[in-house]
Amino acid sequence: MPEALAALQSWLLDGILAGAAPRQAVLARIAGDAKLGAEDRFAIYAGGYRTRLLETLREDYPALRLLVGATVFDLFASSYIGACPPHHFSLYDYGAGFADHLEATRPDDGGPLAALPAAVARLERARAEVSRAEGIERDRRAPLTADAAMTPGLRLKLPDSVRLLTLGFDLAPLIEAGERGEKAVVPEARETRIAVARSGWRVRLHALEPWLHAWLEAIGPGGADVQEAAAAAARASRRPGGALIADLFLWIPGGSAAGLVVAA
Amino acid sequence: MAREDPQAACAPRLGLADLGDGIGLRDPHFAHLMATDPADWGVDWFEILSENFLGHRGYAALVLDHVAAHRPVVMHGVSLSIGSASPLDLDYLDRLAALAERVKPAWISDHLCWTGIAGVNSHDLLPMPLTEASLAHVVARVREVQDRLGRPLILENPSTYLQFTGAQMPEWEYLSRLAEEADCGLLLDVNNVHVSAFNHGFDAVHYIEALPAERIVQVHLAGPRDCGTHLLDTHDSPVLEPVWALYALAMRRTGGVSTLLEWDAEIPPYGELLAELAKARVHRAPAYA
Repeated sequence: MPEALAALQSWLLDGILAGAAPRQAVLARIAGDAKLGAEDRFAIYAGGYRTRLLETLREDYPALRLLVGATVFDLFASSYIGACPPHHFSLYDYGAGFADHLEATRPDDGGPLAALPAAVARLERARAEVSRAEGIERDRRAPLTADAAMTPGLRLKLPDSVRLLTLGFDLAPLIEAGERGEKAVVPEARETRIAVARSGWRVRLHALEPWLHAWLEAIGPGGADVQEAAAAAARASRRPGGALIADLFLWIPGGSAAGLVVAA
Repeated sequence: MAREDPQAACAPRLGLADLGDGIGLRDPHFAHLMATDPADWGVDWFEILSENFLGHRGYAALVLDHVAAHRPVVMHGVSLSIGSASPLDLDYLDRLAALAERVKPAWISDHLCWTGIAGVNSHDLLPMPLTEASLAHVVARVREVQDRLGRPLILENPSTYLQFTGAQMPEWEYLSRLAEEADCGLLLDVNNVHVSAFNHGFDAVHYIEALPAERIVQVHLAGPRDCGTHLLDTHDSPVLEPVWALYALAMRRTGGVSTLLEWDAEIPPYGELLAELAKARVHRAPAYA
């Protein structure tokens, strides 16, 4: 001990993960009776493991399920469950690698729509992360005004409750349809930059112009000088710096109220 | 080894309060709780699933802070994996301690089980081999957890669907000795007793009568699913009549302990949950007669 315990637990868990009846040596350690044999009793745990993870993924990725249908979604989820056993103590963490798994396993010859499931999963995961992160709601400071935004040397940062994404599809209509309980809308394939952010405890999607996306990336969670980030965004988006800064000062009050930036 | 006279050394419920009747704090009821005067919540206390709130700083955390400001809260976990042969997850324990610092729970509980080994987590409450060696292993780990958390750990009897051959004692003896030797408390889930008794063919009444009553800190009630050959602990239905009888026995033996109705799937509206919880008062009444 705990070597004997470790061996027993490893045998049982390996069998549960494999979803197959464990080796005879393991079955011999399970007490069966006339009502339920050792294999039946093992199967309750093996089946429960799969069901629990499947239900977790269904709950965490409702828009993807709405889009591809229950049967296809369960195929995706089963593939993930088979390839990626949970390592974290929280079931919330389990689906964190689902989008990457879908990306890695998508068919090479599936056409442009083959990238769609991973894109939807990436957005849904971002929404889940934002819903749980520290947001601006407990921050007693008032949103930034236009005047304050123009303060020289002002540093801003992204709150923990912001995720920036560049996706190959416009997914907002799909998410909105899901929230209204309506039928799925097949997303339009086009490059889309969005921020997922929370304010007033609600998670929202914000479509971003390329220059604004670049500026928010330059600001980042660590914070940066507003003007320096604007210069970086102007280079990245190939916009004249003056015009970009003018648009930025107009945007900052609303962006601050929407929980996209806070004073660093 | 067990003390010669453990009952003399242990106050009822380890000296912890009888909180009354409570329910699990669950997502579908957040809006109701936030919109309703706490005086009208209709319950004495709430139990949270600790893992749902570890690291959570969103709306659920706001609800928890609000609830904890008005009612006692108990932290009930499913990931301690006290019976695993792998080392204790100290990161998990530290996060648990941090949440406890914020919530100030009446106590912290988990299950007599293991959930994984070698870094893999099944997210299931897997059964222990009921041997002297595994008991010694769990006793040592409970003591370590209690030292780290600075408070007694309350452990629940899980529902089980298999038992290992070579068992050296029944589960009630294992739990009783664990509680005495590790000096921890017990969360008696009377539905789990009923489920395991059905699945393994033991006497549920004898199970409850054999436990050290003074170490029972809390009782769980729930409804299982009948799968024909076995009962499954699903927390998705009303409490069964035989479980109410076990509850009455537990309350008679303990003299009254905190009661918690668990309902985790197909969760009914708040009012229906309160109606089910109200049955506890009726069923335990003869215990005090």
